[in-house]
Amino acid sequence: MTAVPSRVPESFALVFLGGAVGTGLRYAADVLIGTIGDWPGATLLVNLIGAFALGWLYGRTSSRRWRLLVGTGMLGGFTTYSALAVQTQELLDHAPLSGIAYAAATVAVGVLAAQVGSRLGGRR
Amino acid sequence: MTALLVVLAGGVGACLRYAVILAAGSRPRRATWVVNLAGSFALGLLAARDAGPETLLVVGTGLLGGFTTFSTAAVDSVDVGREHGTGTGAAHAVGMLVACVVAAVLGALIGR
Repeated sequence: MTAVPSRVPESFALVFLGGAVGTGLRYAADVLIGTIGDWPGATLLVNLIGAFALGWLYGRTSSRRWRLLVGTGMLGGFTTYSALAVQTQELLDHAPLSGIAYAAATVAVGVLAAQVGSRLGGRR
Repeated sequence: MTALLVVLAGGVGACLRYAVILAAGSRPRRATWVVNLAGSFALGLLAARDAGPETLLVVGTGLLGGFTTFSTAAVDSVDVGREHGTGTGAAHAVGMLVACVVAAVLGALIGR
């Protein structure tokens, strides 16, 4: 077991709450920003911000509850890999170069953002 | 009403992801692979099915969006890079991208 049994319901409650909030914010970004040119601008933006923020959070705190609420829950719900994969697949059908550029930019800048966030959060 | 369902479905998706993380025990990176591959496959399938805008929002944006995660995938790549070198970290990031796009394509092919 990775968790004391009595902690499990509380953990799921924190993850549910954070996940609902993060998903709501991503949905709002979808509605407000949508696509920018060919690219799913909202998905790109939430994934980059979320990667930076999660790197920062994990550098900043080792509190189990904060990590579950904000990390696993909110930032996990805010960011999305399923939309990234399917949007890339759809772009590859219509505009292959644009699809490759979108996916490569997301992953390259996203990993860099997580690294910068982690450094700024205090992790070496 | 749709917005509320999207938000609730996102909470459920995040809980399902957390269940996979608990099941993965001391190897949480495996959980990231499992949820992102399964979620990308499922969204590819759903999008190809012409499920209707409401279902696409609640199940796609809500449930599968909350289930999969890009933030953890990016942090995993950074950690892999720290443990095994930058090249391996980059390979982890590119590998997950390619694998998840392939999963989405497979889902779309089956869904058509």
